[in-house]
Amino acid sequence: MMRVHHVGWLVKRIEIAATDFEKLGFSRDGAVCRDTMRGIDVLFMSCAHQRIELVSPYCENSIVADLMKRYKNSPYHMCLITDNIEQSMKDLEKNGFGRISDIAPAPAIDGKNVVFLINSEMGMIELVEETGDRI
Amino acid sequence: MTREEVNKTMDEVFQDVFDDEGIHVTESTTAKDIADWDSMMHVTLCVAIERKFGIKFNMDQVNTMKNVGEMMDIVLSQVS
Repeated sequence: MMRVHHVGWLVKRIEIAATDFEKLGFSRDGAVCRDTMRGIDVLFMSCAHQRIELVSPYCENSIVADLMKRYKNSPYHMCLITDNIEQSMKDLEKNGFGRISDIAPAPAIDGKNVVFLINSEMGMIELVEETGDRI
Repeated sequence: MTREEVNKTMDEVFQDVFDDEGIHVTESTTAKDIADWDSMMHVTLCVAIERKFGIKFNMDQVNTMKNVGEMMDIVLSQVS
């Protein structure tokens, strides 16, 4: 069974959104990380062992630019931890999920490999490959 | 299953995925004809079609199909 790593949350203005999440009791896990491959700024925040990932497009060709127009400020994916991303991806592809990205490192998650999939009934998920006890 | 039946069911899938009951697809319908049919919605659409018809597209088919007619060809090749 896979564990939840975080919930991804689209925001237009990451600094203002982070300040507002702090009012709800969330704390910043670090500084804003710029992912130049995906055209996004990312900030992880936590509250009572629950982690969110604020994701904000910083350029027009950002990977989330179209999503931002469609969903506005809102949660848009759940990230699950796997110890074998290739195998988990193949298993999900056989069970109603379609891959929408290649497996690639995510600078905001210590360069760990991630992949995004989509399901027509539940939306988008992300897999992150992680071994050991750290979550 | 006839081509007409596939087309009718395809209509239902498109209407559900794009949340628009006004959508009616034809053989020549492409992504340019439907607002919001971007690359992510294309994958969503493909998995919804797979589920509806109990079929499976391979990655090459997902990436190269040019219109609804080609989708229907693949569906028919696996259901009939």
